[in-house]
Amino acid sequence: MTGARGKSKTRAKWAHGFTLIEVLIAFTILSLALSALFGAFSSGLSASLRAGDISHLTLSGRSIISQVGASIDLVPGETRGEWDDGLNWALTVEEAQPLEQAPISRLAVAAYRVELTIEGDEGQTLRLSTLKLGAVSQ
Amino acid sequence: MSGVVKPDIGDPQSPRRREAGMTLVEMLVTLTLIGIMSVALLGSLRFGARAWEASNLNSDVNDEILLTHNFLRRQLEQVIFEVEIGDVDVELEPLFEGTRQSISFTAPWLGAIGQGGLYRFQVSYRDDAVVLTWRPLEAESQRSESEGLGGERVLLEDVESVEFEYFGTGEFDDTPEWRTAWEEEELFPELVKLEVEFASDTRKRWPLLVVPIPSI
Repeated sequence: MTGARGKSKTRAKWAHGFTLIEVLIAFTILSLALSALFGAFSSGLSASLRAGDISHLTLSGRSIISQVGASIDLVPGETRGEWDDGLNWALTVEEAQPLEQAPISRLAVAAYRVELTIEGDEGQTLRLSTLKLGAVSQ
Repeated sequence: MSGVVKPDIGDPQSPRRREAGMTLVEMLVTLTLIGIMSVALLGSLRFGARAWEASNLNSDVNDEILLTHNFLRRQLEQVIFEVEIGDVDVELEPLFEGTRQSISFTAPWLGAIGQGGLYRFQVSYRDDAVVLTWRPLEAESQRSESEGLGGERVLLEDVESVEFEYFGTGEFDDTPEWRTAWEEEELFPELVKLEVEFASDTRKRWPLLVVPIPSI
């Protein structure tokens, strides 16, 4: 008798539905989950924009380094430039440390370390560095 | 009292009282909550869809520029200086020619795409786009075999202006300088520069392209 009554009471309790507090808690949990989800969306978007900026800087930097030894002389010193699209770049060329007793030191060529620092319009910076062979500077 | 359930509307614990439904205030609160929830949900779905679209567009734009850069760099770094095709005496057009708006050169094509071998490439600006055309470099007598191997493809869209420049000495004793055309010169240029201006309503930005041409 008591068992059957208890059962029907439980059913009646649940059939009544959610209380306001329960709905509010569910709503809060839902909004937390949604904000985490859309945070992921927006960070994905900003990461893809940043990747685009870095690839722009890298391609531009490669083009600058390509000019060293042709339209930019391969001599120790610094060259700076500023482009219309907001890029600032500084290129330094210095003689690389020659290897002791390396047979190459007898040749009329020297190795130069070419370093490029390139800064985008939103402050992103990228450094590229390479070695180039050129005539020995006097 | 136990075991006897007496229906009484006044008793808040009685089943009759519970089945009487919600009050107007409860109903209003529920409707308001559902309203707020659906507004928030729809708004965030809209935001999600727009973020998705924007990042797709962004990566498409980046891909277009990156692919063009890499393709032109790779092809121009493999430019061919001299060609002999079998024993046939071939009348060849100049191997390298450039103007302000277009450039023509000869280079090996990727074997993976179609037939390998030497191809004649032209990159030019027309109808607001940068277009690549290619055809196999072959003697006149062989031309019929190679039909259908040529092609054309748009590399960049929404282009407003294109400017090729060439750095080098045309003759052996000149001083090298940037020029806007390279036609019928004895030597190849040392550098080729391509500047592209996209239409202002696109988000595309062209990074300067300068490719060194390997010297002989």
